[in-house]
Amino acid sequence: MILLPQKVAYRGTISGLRISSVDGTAFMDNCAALVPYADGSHLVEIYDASGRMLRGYLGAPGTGETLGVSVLAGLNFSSGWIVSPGSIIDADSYSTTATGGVQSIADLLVALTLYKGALVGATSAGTVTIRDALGGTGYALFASDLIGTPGYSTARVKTSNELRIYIRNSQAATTDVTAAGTYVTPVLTPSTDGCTIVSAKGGTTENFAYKDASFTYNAASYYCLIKRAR
Amino acid sequence: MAIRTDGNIRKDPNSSTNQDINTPDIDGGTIDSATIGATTAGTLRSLLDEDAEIVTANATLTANQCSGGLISNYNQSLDCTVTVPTAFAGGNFIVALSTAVANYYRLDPTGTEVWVWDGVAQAGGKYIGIANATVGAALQFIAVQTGASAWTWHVYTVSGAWQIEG
Repeated sequence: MILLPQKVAYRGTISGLRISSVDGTAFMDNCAALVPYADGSHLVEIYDASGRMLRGYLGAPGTGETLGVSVLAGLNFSSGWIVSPGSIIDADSYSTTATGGVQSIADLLVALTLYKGALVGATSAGTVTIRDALGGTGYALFASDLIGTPGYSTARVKTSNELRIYIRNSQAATTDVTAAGTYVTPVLTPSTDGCTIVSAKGGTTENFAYKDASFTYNAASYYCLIKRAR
Repeated sequence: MAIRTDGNIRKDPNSSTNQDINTPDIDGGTIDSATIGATTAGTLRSLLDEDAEIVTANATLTANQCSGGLISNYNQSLDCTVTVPTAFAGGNFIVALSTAVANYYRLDPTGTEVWVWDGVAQAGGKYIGIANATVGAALQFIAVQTGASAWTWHVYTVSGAWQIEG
């Protein structure tokens, strides 16, 4: 007897997909095309460009994005931050003598958590970016516009300093960050264009069932495959 | 029915009725010198006749390989395009990748043959491929009769980021 595999309900590439894969708060967002399948009975496989996969069951449709407390609440560069190359000016200002910026001494991010962030302020020169680590291993978490346009990013798994916050200027400058309007906030629940992920059919534990340790987060797009679960 | 001293099973020449073999005890064996299975107590396991590792740049599957066979990419190290013969009666096989490599693996129709992929007919001659071979990516092929003497490959995704030729 020939047994057919589970029926494919959806297959496609989704741009701008937001992923929270931290255990207990697993969800996808900005994926309206997938929401109709969020009934606890459909399996989703998310592939990055290298074929690495996240797998879980689409749980329930989102009811509205909710946010936690910003990791930059009470921002004070004078305590708990270092600058290189340059110096701290005051609680929300710093100067750089070349490409560089301020970095938190402690880890502020939680790996695999989705964050929403924005940056408000002014600089005398260059482009300012919120990154997730100092130096060449860091990458921009959010839009570097200094006017508060929010962006989304999934925190990486820590191998060195990837869970710190690094506010970087592309050149020597004096930068004044406006605390009001600058935030890096964990996203706790998906919007109505997203859905929760659970680890078992009809389950309630909001985890992915499988996560490739080398999965590439924050890619421009992902290939998604949805199958009806037996 | 009797097993003769030469090991052959022969019908009793003096019997005019059908003769059955009851509760035989088969301990391994061969057919035309090829091992037919592995035997453990109470179990006879068959081996797929055409397990095939297809990892050359261009290959064409045989009808035998497409008749209950298993096609893998074991030890793939280059881009592979595997041509599937025109669908035929009884055709069915599985493609299951077992080697991860940053090379594509494509299953290509013969000529402009139309495949039905997960229930949707595709344009003629379009391959189904995966950009980077990954362990566990798999497809199932089943030939479905579509005419008096015509069959069509129905391809089902088991797992993996397979995509149709653009």
